[in-house]
Amino acid sequence: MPSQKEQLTNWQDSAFHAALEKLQTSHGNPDSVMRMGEAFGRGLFAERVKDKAPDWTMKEWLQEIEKDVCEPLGTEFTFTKISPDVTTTFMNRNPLAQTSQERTAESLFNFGVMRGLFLSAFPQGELVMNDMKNKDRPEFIFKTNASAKDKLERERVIRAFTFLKKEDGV
Amino acid sequence: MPREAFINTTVQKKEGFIRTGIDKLDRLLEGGIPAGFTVVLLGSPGSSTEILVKQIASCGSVTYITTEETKQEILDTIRRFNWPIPEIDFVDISEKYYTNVLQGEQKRVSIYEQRSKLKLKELIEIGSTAMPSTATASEDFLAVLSNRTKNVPEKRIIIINSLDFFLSQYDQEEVLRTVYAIKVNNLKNKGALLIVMTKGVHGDLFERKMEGLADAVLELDVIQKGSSFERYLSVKKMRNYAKKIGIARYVIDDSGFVLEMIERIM
Repeated sequence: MPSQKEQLTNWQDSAFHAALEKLQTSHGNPDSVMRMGEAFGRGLFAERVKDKAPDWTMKEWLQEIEKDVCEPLGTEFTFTKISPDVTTTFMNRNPLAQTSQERTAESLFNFGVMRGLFLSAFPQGELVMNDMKNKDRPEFIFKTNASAKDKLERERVIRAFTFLKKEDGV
Repeated sequence: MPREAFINTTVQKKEGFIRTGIDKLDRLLEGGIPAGFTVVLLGSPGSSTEILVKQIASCGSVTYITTEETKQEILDTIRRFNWPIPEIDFVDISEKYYTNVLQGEQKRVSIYEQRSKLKLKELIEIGSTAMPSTATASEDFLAVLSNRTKNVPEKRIIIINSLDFFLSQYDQEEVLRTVYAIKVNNLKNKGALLIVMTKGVHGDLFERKMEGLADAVLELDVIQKGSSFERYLSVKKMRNYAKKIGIARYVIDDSGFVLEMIERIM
């Protein structure tokens, strides 16, 4: 019987593998990778976190995600700002990124996972990403109330990563 | 475990069953999908689920809800395999989705273009350097799914390819409620509802809930054997038809989905 940590890692690997497969069947559309990440993030939330609070506050959400998702997956964050509406964080460690050869797909998938986890608790919110050139240490900004501009962030991230991919010649 | 090889005979049309049009799959199902059944098609990555559903779509009276590929891409594949293109009613959510994305992007560009033409005084009047609200209410795709499956003619096959799209945008419970409503409609219409979902993405709990809701569960798997891969289709669940539980190896060739051998489990 695999441990809870192993189960979660296997689930993530399986979802990422499915995302790469979707990339092929959707004729290379990067949106499909992010979508699988979002579906996995929503699944994680529903299965491991959802029932722990009736109405989420940013602080509660962060604590539960750290304990029930990030820790078992070996993902580490550094929080630089935590307020009830906005939280800014850097991702320090992501085991999936260390093992994956598909860096661009992994970044899109990862953004999707975090977005799925966040929007499950805060449907009016949005995840914004800064400093996308530094793919090893991206800055995530979680906003519980998204502006119209924030709502376009998902498409901006897809375009930016697709552009970076072409620039890198990956 | 009894084992039987396929005999290449055509399956007779049976009352109360909807044929998939793939002869050997209909043999495995002993006549096709029982009318009114909701079938969950769970596919592992690389199992070519998308080919199977297109082949079924080319065989009869079908409403095809596509979220992965556009109508044109589906038709191109059907033509490539030389399958017939009968009466397919497409609900192209994929096209709608990307149109929405493009419209949002155009709106964003036009707002910045407008801003660049404004004078300083006008900008101060607007009162902010931030982007004004664009009120980008995107379409409710779950409502589209629900509406377009409500009034389909009787004895029709409805294909949803795939549920993954809805599960990336909506809560699992919300998606389950919609699927349940479509299931009830399908039961009334005596049709066959085929729901495609990728295995291993949405969590064991959700997969179990979907398997519980479904009347039948077909699973497509790829298993590595040495240096080669073998593909299997298993009938994991068939409500009221325990005899139909079985597994079949399959390949994809120029003609499409070819089942090679059945093993009965029960």
